[in-house]
Amino acid sequence: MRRFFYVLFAVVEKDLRLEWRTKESLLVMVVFALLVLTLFSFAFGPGGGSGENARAVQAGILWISFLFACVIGLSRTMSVERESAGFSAMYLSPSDPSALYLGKVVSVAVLMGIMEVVGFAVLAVLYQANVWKSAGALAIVAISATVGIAAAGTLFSAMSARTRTREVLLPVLMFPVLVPVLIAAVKASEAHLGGGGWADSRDWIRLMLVYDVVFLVAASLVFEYILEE
Amino acid sequence: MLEALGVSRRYGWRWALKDLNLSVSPGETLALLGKNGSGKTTLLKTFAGLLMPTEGTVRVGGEPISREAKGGIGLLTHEPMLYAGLTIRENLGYFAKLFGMESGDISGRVELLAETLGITDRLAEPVRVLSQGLRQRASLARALLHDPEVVLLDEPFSGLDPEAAGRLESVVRALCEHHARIVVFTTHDLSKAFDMAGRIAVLGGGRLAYEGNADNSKEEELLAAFDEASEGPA
Amino acid sequence: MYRDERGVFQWLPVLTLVILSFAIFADFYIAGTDRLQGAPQRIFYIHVPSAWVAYFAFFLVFIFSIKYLARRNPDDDIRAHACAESGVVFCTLVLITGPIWARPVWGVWWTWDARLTTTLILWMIYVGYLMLRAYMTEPEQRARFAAVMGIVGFLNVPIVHMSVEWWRTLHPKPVVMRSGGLRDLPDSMHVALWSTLLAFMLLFVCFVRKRAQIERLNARVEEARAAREGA
Repeated sequence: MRRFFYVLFAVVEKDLRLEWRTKESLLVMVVFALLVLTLFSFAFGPGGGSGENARAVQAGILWISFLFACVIGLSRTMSVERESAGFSAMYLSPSDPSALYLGKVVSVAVLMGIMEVVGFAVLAVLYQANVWKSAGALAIVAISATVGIAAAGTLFSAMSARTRTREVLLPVLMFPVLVPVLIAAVKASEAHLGGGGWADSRDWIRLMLVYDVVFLVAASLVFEYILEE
Repeated sequence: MLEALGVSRRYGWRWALKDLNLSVSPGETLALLGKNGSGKTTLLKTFAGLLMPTEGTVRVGGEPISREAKGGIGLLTHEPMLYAGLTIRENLGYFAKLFGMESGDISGRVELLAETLGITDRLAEPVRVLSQGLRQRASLARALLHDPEVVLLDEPFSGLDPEAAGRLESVVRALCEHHARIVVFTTHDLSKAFDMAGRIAVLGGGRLAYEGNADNSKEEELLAAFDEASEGPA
Repeated sequence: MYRDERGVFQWLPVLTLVILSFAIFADFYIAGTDRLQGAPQRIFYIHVPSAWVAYFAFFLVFIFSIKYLARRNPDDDIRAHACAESGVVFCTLVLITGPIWARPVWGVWWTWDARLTTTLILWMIYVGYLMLRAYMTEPEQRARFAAVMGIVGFLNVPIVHMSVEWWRTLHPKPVVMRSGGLRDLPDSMHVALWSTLLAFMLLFVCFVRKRAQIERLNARVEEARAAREGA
């Protein structure tokens, strides 16, 4: 068990250090998320429209932009792994593939978390959204969604990185599988952006947690077959 | 003991290895010869557990290769398997942890290897700025980090300047001299094979075309097998 | 690898054709006309069995994927591939017949009905599965990756369904057909439904067998070509 976490943290440490050196993924993720958030404002009108529907639109815009930015970031991270044959090197070691997978998920989730903080701040400014009042609740929503997105994203990007088309395939594989997370994250965020209580978001958060657990367990078990050359 | 028992491996739609039987005992050094595409790299990767044989088994120490067994195997491939954005020291530290080495032991081991490979003063440089020769040495350090009993080297001397090649050669020679270690390396250079290895195997079309002691009297026989293997259809 | 068709299976396509003809006859002539929906209701006999066959196909993909990873038998990979492809065919049928049925009955082509939406997402997942296969050239690696996708994709089905169901129930619903459940169907409709299901199941088996056979031959051709070129 100790060894499991030792390896897991070694992967996280390596990924974050690499990211800190190059800032390749994070920068492009944040800029891309900002861009999409702004573009949607042009598409739906300032502040995502007016009236009751605005908050639903805002929540939708937010998570769509996070999802898109995540695809960009994942492609970057995985192309670094591909260039250095990182997965093969991992598979040469006697480490537990699930530890390697979960380490990768954690580092992806950390990058996404940083991007999301910026995203929420921008939402508060550009869309006059009530982010601060329910920041705690939104953080819980964001964390449960991010774990799911990172879990699926890591698995599928590791796969698509080894195909001929690479990046093109990632959204095609990833988005349909992430539909439950998208729905739940949007609905739960919508509830809290509207000043709603836990009653409106509890079930959605629970759904995301179920998704997270199912996906993390299943992907940990099969990651070995992705690493193999 | 490192054994391939009836190993076949399909790569693409080709059989890169076909029903191959080969074993190497502790203390032995084996040179693998063969033209490009003869299955040398595939065989090394299969020995390292990176590729699963489509048919047959690979055994290490009498047991089918397992995740635990990988802890005793070191592989040097064409891909450096180092992160270009990290320094040599950071790279080695990371891979050492994957092999379960305690953080306390890592720096000593890294220093020692760097010393032997002559890269001590380059440890803090990111891999991306290193020359091909230095990368190769850093990569060899990665393969030897965990002091493996089985060392697999894919073309360790190709594409290097004489100085780097000489340095690497003496390191590999030292590895081979260890009484309990298994060393398998691939090369195009016949003289290096005769010089360094105790035994030579020639692969052709994924099959074993020749196998025997590295004894100069057999050179002609070996060359004949080499030519035959690279000409005729598999 | 390749065997000639012998025994019972030789007659399978013929049997399928006979039952399929009967099923089509039953759908139009044996089953009575629905009092509320009229003739458009008859598409139900195509729509529902297709959906069941599609879900069954994806379940088989899941099973063959697990089997492949456990035993690494290339034939399991071929079977998973054949099931996925045939499953997508039936899934497409569901997605085509759904709107055709919805239009005259509910007045709209698409209602984001929970079951149909789940099927749409499922269709996307398995089209992704087929694309993943199409974009990979290394057969062993493709088999492994596809198996992973086949397992993960199927595990998602209940969660997707749950999320879509909740998503819809929290919205004002359009006029949704209140189906009284299968038990309320008159006998003549049962005959049509179950005979079509049987026909589609047999058709599915024919598809899978044919597809797997083609894929096995394909593998032999590729192997022979590679052996000739590679030497």
